[in-house]
Amino acid sequence: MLGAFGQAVRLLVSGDRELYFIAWTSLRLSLVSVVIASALSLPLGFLIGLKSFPAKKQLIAFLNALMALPTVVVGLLVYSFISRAGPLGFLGLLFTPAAINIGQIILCFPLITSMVYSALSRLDRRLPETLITLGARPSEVFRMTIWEGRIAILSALLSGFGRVVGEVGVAMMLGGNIRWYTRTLTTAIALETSKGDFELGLALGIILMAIAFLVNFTLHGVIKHER
Amino acid sequence: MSAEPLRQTEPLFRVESLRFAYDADPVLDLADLEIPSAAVAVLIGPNGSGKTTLLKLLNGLLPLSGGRILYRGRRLNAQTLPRLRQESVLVHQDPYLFDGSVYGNVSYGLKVRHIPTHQARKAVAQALQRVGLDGFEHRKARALSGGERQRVAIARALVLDPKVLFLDEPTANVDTDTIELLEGLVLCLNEGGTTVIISTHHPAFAYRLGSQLIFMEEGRLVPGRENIFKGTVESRDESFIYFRTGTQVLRCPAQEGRFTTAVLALDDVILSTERIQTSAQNQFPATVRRVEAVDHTVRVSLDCGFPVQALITEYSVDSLKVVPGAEFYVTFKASAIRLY
Repeated sequence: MLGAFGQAVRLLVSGDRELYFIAWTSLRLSLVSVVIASALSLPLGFLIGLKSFPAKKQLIAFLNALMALPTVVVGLLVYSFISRAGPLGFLGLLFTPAAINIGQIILCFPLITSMVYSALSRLDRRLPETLITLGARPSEVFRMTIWEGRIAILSALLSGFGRVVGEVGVAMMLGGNIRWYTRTLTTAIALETSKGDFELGLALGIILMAIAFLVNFTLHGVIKHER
Repeated sequence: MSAEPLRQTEPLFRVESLRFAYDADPVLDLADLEIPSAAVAVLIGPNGSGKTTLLKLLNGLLPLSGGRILYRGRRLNAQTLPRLRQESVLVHQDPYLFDGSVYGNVSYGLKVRHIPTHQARKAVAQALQRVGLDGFEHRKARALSGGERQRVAIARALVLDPKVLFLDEPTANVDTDTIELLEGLVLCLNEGGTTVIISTHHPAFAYRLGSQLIFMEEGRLVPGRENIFKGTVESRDESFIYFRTGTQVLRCPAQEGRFTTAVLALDDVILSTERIQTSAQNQFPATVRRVEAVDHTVRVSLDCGFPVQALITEYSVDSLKVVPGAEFYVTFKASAIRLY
């Protein structure tokens, strides 16, 4: 274990370009997926959290069920759509970073939406009324509600990030673990471990954890600073 | 020039058989109600009587379940709501303040109206001054005391210079200084032509401020059970305060304080065909103006130099021949009068 830690540090300071590329791929793909998913999750979470409409309960139950989707199943489903024989095969997406993004978005969208909706529904009921009576239009009510709920929403985004940065099923099945292209930290770990280089795998795992911590601390720091 | 001047007779708000229900539970079921322009209308009633709901409906914050609301003679709907929104603002009981500074809170309504910053700064400073919070701009809003938070919320409304101000239970959870400030503010706003609609269960506050008192119970309007006389204290001696209302002077129990309102329960008023020898200190000749049956009693409106109402039984109406135009004496005890 200590040896792995030492190797992780050595790898980081050695300036191994491939390692940096792999780490950057993991970080970039996860961030892009979370950003795209949240563009859908925030409005939907706002709608579920603050408005009433028919079939709202069913929608919530459906989202909760989606949260439990195994990553491999998501990988499999997307694979069947974008493989050459699939209905979207002509797009040539299989084994590209975009394919990983699609899988990751499907993975984190229900989680982020559920957390956003429960965060916003716990916000004070007087908030929307206060905004409306002061003359805010619907878009402004949305903006201000997200702002007032930003701490809890941040937790939702970070949970979504945590779910996708650490998963291996989607990245492996849809990305294909292609060197200098779609290899991420998790697929690299799987590869190194199966090759028998357990220590390198562990070192990569430590780097993955460090990235996750760093992202959490940075975003929390930004929010604290705003207050 | 206004596109549609308000006709003299047109009330600011008119409510017609309004109903409101949360899910299937009816909360509000009101017959007709009118609130004139530049009134101080006070909704009085116990908790759960629907006061807050009515305020929110009038402010367009809740959808009606039935009936209609007319604002300046026009039915509230998607077309007319923006005007009401522009001209009115509601201050919640225990108001919600945004995370951030007092300035951020008070300037919020100006920001969404795209008022330039230098203008907003001046307006915010003025509004804070009106509520006695000069120089509070940079304080953290949520770190303030209950009374101060209430004042910030009122400044946040005042800065918009509303034509209609809704105050929901403004006297709840605040100190006496804030209540005094509120009273002064409401009267000052009203002199400036602002219509103020307040819900409260603080009777003194209601009686002193209200030009129109609206009594509510269990989601319904109920007729007032009290005469409310506006007037001034003319003189005092050891036994009495002499309170002038209309062309008459009422004898009221001696007490310390400044008073503008005398309150007398309807069933404390006695009608007689002749002047009677009694310990009651107030007796005036009066003419019957109106007689109306209310449940099993009869409400008689009289004029004795000031308008007064009495609640009597149907038996008394028949035996005394109480009809419009008849002459009577109105008698009530000094100790039955409460001064506010």
